[in-house]
Amino acid sequence: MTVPHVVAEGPAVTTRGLRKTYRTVRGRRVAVHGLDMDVPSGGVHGFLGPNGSGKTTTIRMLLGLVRPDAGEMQIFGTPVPRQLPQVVDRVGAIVESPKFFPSFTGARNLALLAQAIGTPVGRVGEVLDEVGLAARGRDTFRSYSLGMKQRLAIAATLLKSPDLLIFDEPTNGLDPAGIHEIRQTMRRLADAGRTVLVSSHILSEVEQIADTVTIIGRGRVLAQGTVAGLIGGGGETVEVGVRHPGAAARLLRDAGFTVDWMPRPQGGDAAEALARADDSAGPEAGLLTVTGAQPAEITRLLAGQGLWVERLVPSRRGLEQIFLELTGDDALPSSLGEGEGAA
Amino acid sequence: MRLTLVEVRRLLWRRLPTLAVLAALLVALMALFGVHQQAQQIAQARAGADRDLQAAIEDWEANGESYVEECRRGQEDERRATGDGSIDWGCDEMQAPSPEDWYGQMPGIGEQYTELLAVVVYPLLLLALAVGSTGVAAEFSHRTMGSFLTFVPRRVPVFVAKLVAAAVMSVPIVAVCLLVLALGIPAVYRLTGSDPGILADGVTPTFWMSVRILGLGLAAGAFGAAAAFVLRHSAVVIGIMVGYVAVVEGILGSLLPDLTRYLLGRNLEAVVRDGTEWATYVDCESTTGCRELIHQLSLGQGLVTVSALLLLVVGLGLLRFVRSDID
Repeated sequence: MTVPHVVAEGPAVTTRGLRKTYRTVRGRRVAVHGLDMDVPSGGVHGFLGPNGSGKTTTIRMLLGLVRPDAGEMQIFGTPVPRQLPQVVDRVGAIVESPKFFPSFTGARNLALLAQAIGTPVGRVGEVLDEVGLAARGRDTFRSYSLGMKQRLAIAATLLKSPDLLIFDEPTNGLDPAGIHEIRQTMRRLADAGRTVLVSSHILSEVEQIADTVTIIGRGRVLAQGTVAGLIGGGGETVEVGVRHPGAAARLLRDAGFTVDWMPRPQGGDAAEALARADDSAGPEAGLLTVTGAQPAEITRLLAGQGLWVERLVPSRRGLEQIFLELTGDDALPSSLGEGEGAA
Repeated sequence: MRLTLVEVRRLLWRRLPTLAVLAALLVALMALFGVHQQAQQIAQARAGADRDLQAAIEDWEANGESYVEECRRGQEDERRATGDGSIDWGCDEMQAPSPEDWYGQMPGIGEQYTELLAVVVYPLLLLALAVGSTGVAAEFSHRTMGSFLTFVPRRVPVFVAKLVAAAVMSVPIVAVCLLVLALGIPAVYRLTGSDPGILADGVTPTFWMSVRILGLGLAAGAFGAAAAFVLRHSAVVIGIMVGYVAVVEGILGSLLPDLTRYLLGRNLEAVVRDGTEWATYVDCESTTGCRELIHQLSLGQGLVTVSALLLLVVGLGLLRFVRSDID
């Protein structure tokens, strides 16, 4: 049963200056470092970042499980965690892996949660049916596959008919069929008018379903905006193999294109590295990546100067490439298009 | 109230409370088995000794007066020899041999019940504590506490509900034992033909002792749950309790007798028995031997100590649960 939701205007989630530091045996570790995030109402919002970047801590803070050191958070305009009880009925969440009592059946686990929030126990059957677990509701949780456990967790979130669903790494450990299933479920929930905030480090899947994304690294926002804006901002990329990469790079840059070198030099600037490059080096020394140009333009420009192209592969920059660029250097490159931002 | 019912239901669905009730039943049955063995031994002793008792009674009837007279003469000789006129050999209390002098006798049902309760109360409290602590610790170990709090984020009501539920779960554990003993002891007496005796003070003291044990069971359940909120692992909770009994009650208690009145064991005993007393021995170096000192601990003192300990652990548990991050 999918009930269309009408969600109020305004962001579903906002955080400002959110900060969390953990004390460890080696000292203090900053997990979230002044995070400013906006999750618009409706649609799927991808919350992306490498492992240990602060995604789960941020979600835990939103849900009142972890106490922030500083900053403000709001869910549907309600300050949390101070007034979380007022808005918790509108929020369903799965934090990391699904956690239920292993010796209880799926239905029994959900019944406890339903009773705790005053939802009629009859709703358990409905939500199990909704996630395709009606036939296995009487089996113990420990007998479930990982995919079934995820679906049970989603069913639990639906007990409240929430406006905001928070899924933390929901496809961890799932096989391709399971990933597809969860992806479809999230999309379906968003299409029904709910806001889905999904954290992940698997970019390809988020790219397929997310409308907007926030990319974080080391507890800071590196970029946020629409997926189309982030990808489109980078334009098309062409990999170019040429015998004199330094000369070719200067020529293409003079023509107004963004040129990079693959692999990028560690800890240095690609343009400087290219300037220092030995022009006699062959394409095996590295490929140029040219952004914002059509393959024909590149060929014509280089051939006009006697630089013969030996390899030419057009490619579209995906979210994964943007993510790697952002999180690899932990900095926001200037070539990102609309929707970009930084903390 | 709703949360408490949910918690009670959750604990009822777990396997451990059922096992704990079965264990309490086993404790009660073992106690009854002990009563049965005692009654049988006395019955066997009686069967073999009846003839000897009869002979002793006949001897007393024939020679009792001369035995008393002989006793008095000896007592008089001793008084003269020592110059102490207060020496009393108890000659005037000499009586014909009775069955209880000859081969012992079963205590009355009421006395039997209270003596057994005073012993079985400790395993019962340990079971209640284990059920309370594992009920909460399981939520931390399975990491379901975090999931639950995403549904019910107010931690204080959640804490209270879990404590109350853990306390409630001690009721069947204690009640099954009390019931089996209350019904079982008269049955064993009937079975073995033992004299049920009389309840000297009526059933009231026995009833209140049962009530106090039920109360202690509630406290043990809540204590276990609160300790699990502090320590997060039931094995740690039970390990600390066992360590406390071995080290503090066992070793420190015997090394420092003055400490005894503050120990949990003695205070629990005071609550169970409506006050307790024990002896210590001092001045053992003197030529007249040790001097016996009787110490007393009232029910009120026991209640205050046990309540203070419970409140301390509950406070710590609440503080840790409300203030700490949840996985």
